[in-house]
Amino acid sequence: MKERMHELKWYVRVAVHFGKLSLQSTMEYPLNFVSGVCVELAYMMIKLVYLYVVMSSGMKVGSLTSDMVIMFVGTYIFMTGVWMFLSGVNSIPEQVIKGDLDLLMTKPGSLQFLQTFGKYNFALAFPNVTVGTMLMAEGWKRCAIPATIGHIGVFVLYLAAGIVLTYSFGLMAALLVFWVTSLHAVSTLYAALWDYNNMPMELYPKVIRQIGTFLIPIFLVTNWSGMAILGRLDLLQLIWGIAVSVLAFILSRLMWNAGIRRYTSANG
Amino acid sequence: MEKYKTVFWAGVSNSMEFRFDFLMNLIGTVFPILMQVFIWSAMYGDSGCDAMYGYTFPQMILYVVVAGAVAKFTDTGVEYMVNEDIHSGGIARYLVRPVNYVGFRLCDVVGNKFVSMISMVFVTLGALLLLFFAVDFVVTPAAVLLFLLSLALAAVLNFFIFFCLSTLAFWLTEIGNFFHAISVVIMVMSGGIFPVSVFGSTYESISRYIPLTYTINYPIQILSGTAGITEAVEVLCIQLIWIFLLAVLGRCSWHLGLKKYVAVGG
Amino acid sequence: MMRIALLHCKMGCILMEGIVVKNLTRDFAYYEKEAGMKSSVKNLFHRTKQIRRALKDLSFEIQKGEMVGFLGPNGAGKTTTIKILSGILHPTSGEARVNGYVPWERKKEFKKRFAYVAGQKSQLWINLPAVDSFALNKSIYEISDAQYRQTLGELVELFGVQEFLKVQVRRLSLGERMKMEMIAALLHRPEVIFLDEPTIGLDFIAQNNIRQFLKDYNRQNGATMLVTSHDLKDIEELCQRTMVISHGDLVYDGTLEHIRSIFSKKRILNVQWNSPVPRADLVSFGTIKNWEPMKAAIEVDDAAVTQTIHRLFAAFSVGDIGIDAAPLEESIARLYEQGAQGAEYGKI
Repeated sequence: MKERMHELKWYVRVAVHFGKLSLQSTMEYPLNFVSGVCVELAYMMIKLVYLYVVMSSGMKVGSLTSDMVIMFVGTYIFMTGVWMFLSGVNSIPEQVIKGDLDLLMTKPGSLQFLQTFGKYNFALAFPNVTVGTMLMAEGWKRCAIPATIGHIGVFVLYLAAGIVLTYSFGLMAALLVFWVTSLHAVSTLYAALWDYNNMPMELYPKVIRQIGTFLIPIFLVTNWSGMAILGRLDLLQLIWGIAVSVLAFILSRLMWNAGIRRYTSANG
Repeated sequence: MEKYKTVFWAGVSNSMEFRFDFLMNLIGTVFPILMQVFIWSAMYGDSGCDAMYGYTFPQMILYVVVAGAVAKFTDTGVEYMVNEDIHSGGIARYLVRPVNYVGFRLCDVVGNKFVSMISMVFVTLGALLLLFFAVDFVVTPAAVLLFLLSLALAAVLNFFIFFCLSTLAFWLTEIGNFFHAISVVIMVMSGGIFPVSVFGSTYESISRYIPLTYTINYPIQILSGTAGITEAVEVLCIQLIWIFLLAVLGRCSWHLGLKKYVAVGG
Repeated sequence: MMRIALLHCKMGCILMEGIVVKNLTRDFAYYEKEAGMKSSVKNLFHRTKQIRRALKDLSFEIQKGEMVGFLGPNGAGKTTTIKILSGILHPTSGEARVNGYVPWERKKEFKKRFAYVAGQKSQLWINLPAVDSFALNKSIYEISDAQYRQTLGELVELFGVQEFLKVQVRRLSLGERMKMEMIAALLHRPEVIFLDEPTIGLDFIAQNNIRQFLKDYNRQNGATMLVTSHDLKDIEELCQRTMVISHGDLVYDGTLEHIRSIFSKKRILNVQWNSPVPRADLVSFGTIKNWEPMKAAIEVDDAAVTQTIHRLFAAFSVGDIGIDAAPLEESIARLYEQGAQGAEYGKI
């Protein structure tokens, strides 16, 4: 038990240290930060255009009003920020190809931890997380959902599950570098799948909804927190939402171990 | 002329090399388009109207299906090449050779686009065929021909828009991210995701007087039939005018930048 | 046969110090593609997998505190061996123990006791001063404040880099950067250090600095060191023992001097004349390695040295004459060639 506590403390301390250094690094070049923010704002414009179409036409997405859609688009933008934030995950393919994992592999502690929480991109995360949070709050307000601890708790719980999924999916997509040669194609496909969350899943036909929930559970990343507080999920679905993020995390961990065994340090 | 021909064929074979990537990119293009189809079928189904934003449902589907492909097709990436040439000192190579840099880049791009032009024809025909069977939507052969013509002009026009922008690299360093951001904004403003009429009548009327919309929005209007034959010819003429104006502008700013480049010594 | 020190630790387990490598083999798979479009298409559907054997049944032992040089041409397997011993690569087959640990299990206790330094890889945060990266390693390796201050002080002084500690790493010269890399790697006082081309790309002064430092560090801390290099000077100055590896085979294990004696059945006579001697006149004396009108270098058999000198004095007006051993590089180049033929000559 004491051993466990010690280990946990180590993880927290090192993660915080990594975060501090990332932030310091970013602050050395404020112009890079600004240009990174600009790029993300441009991409966000596309995401908001979809919301604009729904708002301006006043359409309903399935059973969701346009006010509710704000919350879903907000969650989607927020999660995109989380995805962009984890540059340790997103840089895996490049580092594997260049053989840049070498030194990290010799450091004590879990390599997966050191790599995936070793670097953060504040510039790409900042606009997404900020605007995403604002939209979620605005949607929440417009839908007049009472801000009780229970409601917020459920929302945050599924948001956290979504973050775990974002991490696990992103990691698995990045780890394909150990098996696939055409990496550009993989990232294009993953980004295309990700963008399906730009609109609530209720927009799509039933087949697509089933695929996105069970086969490639990408919809769980951004839909579950909103759907849960709007009371659109039954007990089984609520459990499924948590179970999938646990499973995805375990799967990504297994895939990590299998991938690292294939690491050739740019030698092969 | 021979040297331009060589550059052209080098571009062709180069893009064939990456055709697997191209195939994957195609899937990456189809996915977002499919999403749009879902959005619009939901919207038209929800509103019960015949036409929204000046498009009937089949016209809108045609628009979003083709827009994604057109946006990919007209995107030349010339800004990155020019930026690279300027900042890595690569333009010195072209300065000593008896080629016109703009002409060289244009041929390179057109060569690269030649292969994707063929696949564009198939994508368009496929989309039309699908629509024909799905919603009984017919397009006249004249519209298809005029569309393909304006598509080629759109690629050239887009080339000159980005070429003009890329000459900014003479004055600004670290401009890669800026290009990235601006190209996304330009794509949206050109109608690469939704037709410009979706953004309201104010922008729609402004958009007639800027070159951007002539790279995506109006060419597709020719195809979908929301623009008639006379309007189509008008679009082609305006495209030519813009190409001419931007070519002049690009040439001027290129020479201006070059003067600065030579004066500073690279 | 077992040259490894066996120590009994408190828990009663057997703790070995030093490095043992037994029958280590590593294959790399790669895909071949012929030139041209046709094979590109073919490769889309079926690629022929090829196997390159980077290490063939490599075995050796290194004792605690030894400083061993690893010499070999590019692609010989030096780096692969070091990466396997550092736990970066899994071997295809074979065994290895470093201080009793299996490297590729990458146990935390093991990783806290060794360091890996590669001349072309960096662990420093390039946009920040090196001291920030050091502090990060302090957290990762859980070094106590007191030990951190002491070790850092010592290392900084050994290298004389006090003034560069607070300079952004990207603004440091290559040599200073490498010194910082070394400090970062040694902060946790490793018992085993693997160095892969530590002086590559550095100028002559920085190379000397780093060699001197490694020697001092080895003497003061008794750390076991394995150094790869294709620069002979590194090995010559640092290591008493040299292993030569070629095409994945260990072709030699012993002192550098001994390599020379294996192959040096030849001597070089450096002669200076009092008046110009044409090249053609010298052909009958031996192999001419170097020729200028007023001097020449002639390679002759060991046994023929005295006789040749006599003949030279008789034939020309000799100003000065010196006898040298054939250059070490040549002997080593011949070792490499033998590795290529798969012979095990010179293995001790």
